Amino acid sequence: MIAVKAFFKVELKALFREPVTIFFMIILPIILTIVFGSTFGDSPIKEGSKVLGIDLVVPNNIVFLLANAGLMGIPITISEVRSQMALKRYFTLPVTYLGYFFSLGLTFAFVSFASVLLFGAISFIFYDASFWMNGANTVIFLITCLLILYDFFIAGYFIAINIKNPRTTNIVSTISFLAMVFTSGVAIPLDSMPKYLQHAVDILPMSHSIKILQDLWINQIHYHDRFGDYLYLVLMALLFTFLVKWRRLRWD
Amino acid sequence: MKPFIELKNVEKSYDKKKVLNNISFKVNKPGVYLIAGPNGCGKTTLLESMVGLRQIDNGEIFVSGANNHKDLHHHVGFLLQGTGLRKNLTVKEEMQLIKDLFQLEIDDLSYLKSFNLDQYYLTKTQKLSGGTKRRIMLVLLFMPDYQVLILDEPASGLDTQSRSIIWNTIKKFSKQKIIFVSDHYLNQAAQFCDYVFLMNKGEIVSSGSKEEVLNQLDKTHVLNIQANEFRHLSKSLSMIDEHFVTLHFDGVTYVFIKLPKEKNIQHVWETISNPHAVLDFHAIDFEDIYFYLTGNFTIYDEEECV
Repeated sequence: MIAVKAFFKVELKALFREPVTIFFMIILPIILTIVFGSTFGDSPIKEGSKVLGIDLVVPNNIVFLLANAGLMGIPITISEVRSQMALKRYFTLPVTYLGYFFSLGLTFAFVSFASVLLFGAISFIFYDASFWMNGANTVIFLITCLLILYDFFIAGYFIAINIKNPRTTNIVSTISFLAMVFTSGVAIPLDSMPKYLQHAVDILPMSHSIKILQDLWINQIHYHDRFGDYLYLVLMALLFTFLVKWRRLRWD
Repeated sequence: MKPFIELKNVEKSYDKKKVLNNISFKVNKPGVYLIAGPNGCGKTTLLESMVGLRQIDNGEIFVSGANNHKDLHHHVGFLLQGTGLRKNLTVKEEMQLIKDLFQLEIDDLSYLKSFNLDQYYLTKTQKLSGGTKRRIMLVLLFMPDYQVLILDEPASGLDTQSRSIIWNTIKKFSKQKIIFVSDHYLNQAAQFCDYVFLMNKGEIVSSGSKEEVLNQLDKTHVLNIQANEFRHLSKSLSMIDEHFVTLHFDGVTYVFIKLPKEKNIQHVWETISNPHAVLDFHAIDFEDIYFYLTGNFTIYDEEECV
């Protein structure tokens, strides 16, 4: 625990000094909140519904943020720490392999949480977002967020394990993230896509995550409809855990 | 007394190439232990194996009497060849990490001042010169009270002044600690060391105190002679030392001779028929010993040269 705390402090300081990471993790979610909030934030999602567009922006942004932290933040940070030889040095200090990566994940989770508070506050204060969830759904929402976080973080770690070159890591991470953003409904509404593409995007985890979180957030979840999405996320978590288990990240 | 560090028949291969072959030694006294040899001889693999960065294929490494030590990184500190500092952290923050990990109470500034590095306290490490980064790394390594320090080429690639500062710092701390140092500038490194391991192709070819290593070859001086002139000088060389040893490399013949105590250097110049053919003449040093032990050498055969 001592080591996790020590590395959490180090990674947090390092993260806040990376302008690109701050842009993607803090600034961009705020921009998305403002853009979408101003465009359709005050329109009901259906005729007669009290749920507004902004109420869907909040869960969308949470998924966007977690995907960004996991698919871009984690692999790019690991790749940079490795290229600076710091990863090798860390493995000669009294910290376990798991301990270091846990602290790195904790750092990104913490910044994601802070970012959610920020754009969440903007959504509530400036765009009249409402909190629809009951107690049970709030707890399930938080647990689902952790599952989504785990999925994206372990996928990012998988990228870091398999690609050593920082430049390639950067390209692969960015492509993975953008592919998910453009096929998840965050950037382009899914309804406006051709039918075959709407089915194709189900291969990627972001659209499943958004569907679940949106339904939970507006307190309209039907678990028989979302069973497939949950199954997808659980299977993805298991698959990536299995894939990274047999291969340790090399420090050089 | 139980050895603090003990290696037993350590072996390691990369693919099919063996990089460590049957390495064994025990160390329990404080001092500087030099692990020397050319690039690719297995120094770094050996040191990284000792600190658990690499898995060995065979053999055992004991630290403080135990192998697979769960607290290894509390006992053994490691300085890697690169710097390993995070570019966007300050020296202060790098120090704080060590203090947090080892639960240390240290006054950062006075500690840095004792190494004349206090002016860099708030500097981001990416703004430091190569030599200063190495010194900072060394200072960070001395913060916890490690019993063993393993330094992989701590002064490699640095200017003379930085090398000297780093070696003096290492020497100062070696009074209480076991410090393993690798270097390929053998003669300079040997000045600061108490004990030497010479490595070649993954094996330790010689080890002992500095005196033991220097005296293992019964020669005192080395002459470098143009290879094409060697035959003409062989007669006069045998008048100085009839059992002289030669080693041929890259157009130069290295002649190892034993100069009797009563004879001085002047005697050599007077005896050699053509002194202009001699490119260099010096008292035997560690690099000569290394060259002798690892290169191709031939015992001089008088008949062959006549």
